[in-house]
Amino acid sequence: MQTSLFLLPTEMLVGILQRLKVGDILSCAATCRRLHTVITDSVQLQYEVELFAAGMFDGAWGPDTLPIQDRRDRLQRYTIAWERLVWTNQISLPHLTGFAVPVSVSGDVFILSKIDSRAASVHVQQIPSALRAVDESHIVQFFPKDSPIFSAQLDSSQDLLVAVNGHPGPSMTKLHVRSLSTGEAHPRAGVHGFTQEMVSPGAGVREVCGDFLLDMITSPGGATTPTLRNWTTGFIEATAMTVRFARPIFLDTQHILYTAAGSGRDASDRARLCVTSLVPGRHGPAESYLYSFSLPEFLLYDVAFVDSRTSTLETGPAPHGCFYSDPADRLISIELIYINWTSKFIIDVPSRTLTQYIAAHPAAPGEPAVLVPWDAWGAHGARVTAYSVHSPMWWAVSGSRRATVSPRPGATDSETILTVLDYSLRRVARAVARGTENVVHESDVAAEHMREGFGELHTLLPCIATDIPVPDSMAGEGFRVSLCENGVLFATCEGRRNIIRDAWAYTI
Amino acid sequence: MPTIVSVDDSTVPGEGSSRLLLLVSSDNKHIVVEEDIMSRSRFISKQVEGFEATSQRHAILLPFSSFVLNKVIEYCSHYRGYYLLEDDPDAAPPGRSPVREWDQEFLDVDRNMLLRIIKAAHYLEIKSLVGSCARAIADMIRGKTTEEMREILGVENDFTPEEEHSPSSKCTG
Repeated sequence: MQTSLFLLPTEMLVGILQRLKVGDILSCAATCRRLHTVITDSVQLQYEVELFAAGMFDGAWGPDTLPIQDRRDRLQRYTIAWERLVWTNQISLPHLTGFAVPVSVSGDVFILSKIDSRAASVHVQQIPSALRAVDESHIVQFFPKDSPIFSAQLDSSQDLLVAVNGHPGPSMTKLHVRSLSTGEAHPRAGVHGFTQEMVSPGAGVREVCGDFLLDMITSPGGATTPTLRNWTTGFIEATAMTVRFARPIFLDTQHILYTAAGSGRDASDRARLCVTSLVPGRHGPAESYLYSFSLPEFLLYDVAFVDSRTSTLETGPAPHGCFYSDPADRLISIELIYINWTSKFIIDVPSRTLTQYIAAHPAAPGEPAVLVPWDAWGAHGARVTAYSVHSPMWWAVSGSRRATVSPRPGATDSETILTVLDYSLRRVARAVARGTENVVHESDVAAEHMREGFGELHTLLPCIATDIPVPDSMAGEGFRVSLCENGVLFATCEGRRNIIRDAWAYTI
Repeated sequence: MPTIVSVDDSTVPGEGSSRLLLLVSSDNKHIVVEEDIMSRSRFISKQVEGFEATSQRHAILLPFSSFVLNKVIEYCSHYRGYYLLEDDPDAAPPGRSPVREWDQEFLDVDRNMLLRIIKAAHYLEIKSLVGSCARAIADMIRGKTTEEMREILGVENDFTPEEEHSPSSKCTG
């Protein structure tokens, strides 16, 4: 006798479907009425589908995080806000004046560090938003002043601040695992043995995400080993040796570890980007290793990732940018890679755009590279900024959105225009949703559209674009913009040594 | 609910720290198993609590075959004494959870068997086994076309032709 899936109770069917990707869930919904009803009636599954349709992934789940219905409500309001592009007025952030650029950004929270004669401190700034029901807050957390904070990371979805003080190198350093909002020991740290202040030789935290913490431990011999630890238990999960690649670069909310290796200088040392799931079975077939792909034979300068963590929902399918430089250390290409666990789209936008830009703005004889080294982008907080020495051109990317700041063609020098484009994956997801039999094909078609859209940065048909006038006081040298998660646009005007003179935020 | 049959205490003797349980499958096979092994099952644990409250021990009748029951017992025996997050989320881990690769091999069975095991695990309230089975079923249908999914899941296309043209469009709300 054939046993049908029909005989399983609804909760078990939901349990099975939750382990599938959205494309598979939608295919399942097309099999029969029962499964269709199970899927449309399940808040959890509908949320997954809606998230995907909006081109997003959600942040970490946990007992203390937002209930699913609230997440759905926020997603809907967020989507509507983006469709109408309702921006608030400029929000002035006077607290940030005098700081260097933020150390770390997560969701709508920034941290900046400061040390003066009295104390070392970390300043936590949250950007307010009526839409997201977030109030503005500015909290200062103090650390022992005898040794500087040389590394700090945060994960706002978990109210987590990890700061390291001491001196980098083989000497002992202290790792503080605190609650972002209260400054007390984080309630989840220490439950299973990880103490609030953990002493490590030369630790320097590079990433914090989910239960994992990527730190760099320097041995007395001076060798630095990237080490992955579970901060709730203290266990060492992996070192660079076991993940096989030399440079674990980024860890995201989905417990994916991105590593890069190789310089790309010759065939035997090809630059590679490797994507590994730390949770076997969660992102596809049981093997934990997802992709490895070769990068063009340029010197791989670095890999930056746009983060998708936050307490409520966040922009995802994070574009992961690879930055290449040539041997003279000039930026020659930036690639954005979208990974949605089934396929990767390599979108080679900026290289083309930047190439055109370089062609249009040749460097004067004897000048250094046309484009100065990119700056002010971090693995956290979704910002990628590049600008030229001659003529300002900034752009920032978050999720599927991009903000550009550029002089208006033919405009006077002081006129600067900020454009926000929405490259949402919504169209892709809707194409998939309509396709019942041939999901992969539909998805590929949509990817082609997307590639076209990205290729022509200035003639994007399906994008939502809005222009925000930039006041004269902001435009000009030292102005920098970054588009962070949750639709927060963060603009700073910096003086010498990257010290912020003025800071503003726009947000939906 | 299974019928509770009264048995003589001598049939199921207590022995050392782990006593024995008598399980009766739907095909009327009598299986004696250590209580300790089955403690992963919330259903069995509740039965045992009942025994202790009334000081009477019974055979436990289960609505699935001995073939399935033996498979579940094999699973429970394998993880005897292990901490599995799904089964006791509040317990402090004495060490890391064991690697679950074993589950994959264990559940490398045909679809009918897999569905029977997940139903048995659900009945016995063994969350970790339900989870592993759900993962195995999800692995079976992942990346398949709708038609292949129907085959695998044993469901019939019961949409009208009109509905079939846009059955999933409703899913995006």
